[in-house]
Amino acid sequence: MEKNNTAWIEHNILPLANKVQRNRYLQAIQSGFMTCMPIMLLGSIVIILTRPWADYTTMMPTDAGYNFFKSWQLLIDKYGAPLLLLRSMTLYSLSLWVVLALSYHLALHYKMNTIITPIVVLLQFFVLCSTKTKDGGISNDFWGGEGLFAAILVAILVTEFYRLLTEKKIGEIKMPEMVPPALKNSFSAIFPIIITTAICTVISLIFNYVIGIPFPKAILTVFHPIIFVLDNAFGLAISSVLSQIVWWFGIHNTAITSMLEPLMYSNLASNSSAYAAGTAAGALPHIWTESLWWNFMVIGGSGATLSVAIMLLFSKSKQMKTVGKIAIVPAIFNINEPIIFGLPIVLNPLFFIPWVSAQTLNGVISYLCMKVGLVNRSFVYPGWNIPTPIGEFLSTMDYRAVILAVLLVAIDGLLYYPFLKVYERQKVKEENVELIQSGS
Amino acid sequence: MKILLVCNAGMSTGIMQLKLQECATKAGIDAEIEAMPISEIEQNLDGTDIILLGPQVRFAEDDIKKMVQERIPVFSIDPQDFGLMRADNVWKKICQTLNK
Repeated sequence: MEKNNTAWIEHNILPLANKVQRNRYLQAIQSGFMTCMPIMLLGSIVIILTRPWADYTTMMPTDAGYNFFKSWQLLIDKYGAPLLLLRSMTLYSLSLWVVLALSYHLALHYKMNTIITPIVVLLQFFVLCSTKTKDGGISNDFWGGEGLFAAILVAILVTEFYRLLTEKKIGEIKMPEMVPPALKNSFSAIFPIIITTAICTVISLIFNYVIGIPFPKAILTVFHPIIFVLDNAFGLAISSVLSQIVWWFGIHNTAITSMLEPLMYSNLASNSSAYAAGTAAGALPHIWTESLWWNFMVIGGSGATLSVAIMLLFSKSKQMKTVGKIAIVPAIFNINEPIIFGLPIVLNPLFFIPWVSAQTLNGVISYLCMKVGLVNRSFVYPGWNIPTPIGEFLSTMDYRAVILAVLLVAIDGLLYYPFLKVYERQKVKEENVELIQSGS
Repeated sequence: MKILLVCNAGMSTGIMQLKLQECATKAGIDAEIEAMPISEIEQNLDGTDIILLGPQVRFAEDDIKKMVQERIPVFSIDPQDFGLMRADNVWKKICQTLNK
């Protein structure tokens, strides 16, 4: 009976998941953000260093820590210029890096020239997303977190348009054989670049002077309704449930998470900027960031299986104990394929309920804690492999996040426990039968 | 022998990679085993004898078979073998497929 059900699933759902998963844009978005991780991490370190935890000017000279925070701030004022420059070039310029990385990966996929294409695309981003400062200079208002949605759109659309021009060889200047390849490539790109830039300049002018809204701001306005509906505890819960259902079929859930990345990263960037500007970590604008998902929800791996790995180590079943021994080290680093394929959890109806609900519960509880200010909101993303509770601490710089993390692991454990016990009884029975059979 | 191990980010297959390397050394075969995400397969096809897919990306099997135009054998690792890291089972299957 089960075999028939899963066969139907494999025939109908898998190809659809395949299509979404292999979607070149989602893959480029995912790879692009992954490539920019070091930049974001650097930006986070700089922000933590250049923003004292308390503003000494609001304290009395007799308060505890006054001298500490005062000297910290004075150090920054006197010697912090290089760090502040770094902050501008990493966090406040995030969209620039994302544009480069995204168009690079897309160009790679299409076997286009992987240095000329990102250069052309970045140029168009400057054309479309630069605004003016009050004294007539160029503003980087939309080069950071605010420009991320525009960055993704520009990277994809311009790369595709440029691909059209180069594949159809529109405006290509042919050069003689003996010319070096680098020169040949840049020469043949002249007209496609001119055409692309001319079109983007016209588009930028239309947005600025006819529509009256700068291009990146217009993009934000277009996405606003979707974000408004999605960016709350309900959207979070539904996304988590959906992604876990996909995973239960044994399909990597990047189809769902890569669609969430633009929102989660831009929220994170927005929080980082606010923190850098002096906003208290408990009052940052967004809750659902990259860190909320990967550090607070995906504890031990998708489905929040860290507690499972620990419990398996103490299991009475030989098979389950073996899975635990193999799975525990990866689980500490939030990798859990050994558990989901070894226990298995995938396609195992018994574990469906905890599998979908543990991670979702982590998300909702963390969301609520952050909403009421019990825990700081996140503004650093240390990566999804950082063990719990270090990841939770680093992303919020809040010791209370450590307490929350431990609580979450305990709750996940309680959720999984009854189901693991049922499974264990089954497995022990099977193993005893085997023993008896082999004994006789 | 050159083996490509594919998963989504190349991390979970890394463990399988180490264990398969042990199997190859035990069998006295000089094997180059690389773990990588799907997006890097195309650039690494030169000299590859066989491609193995982690079960969480097995839906891409048909696409990859098309990409290699049937020149290189492709198969998805059995979920339980992958989960319990039973590299000797996987190694057996590799040898069977290549000896055909």
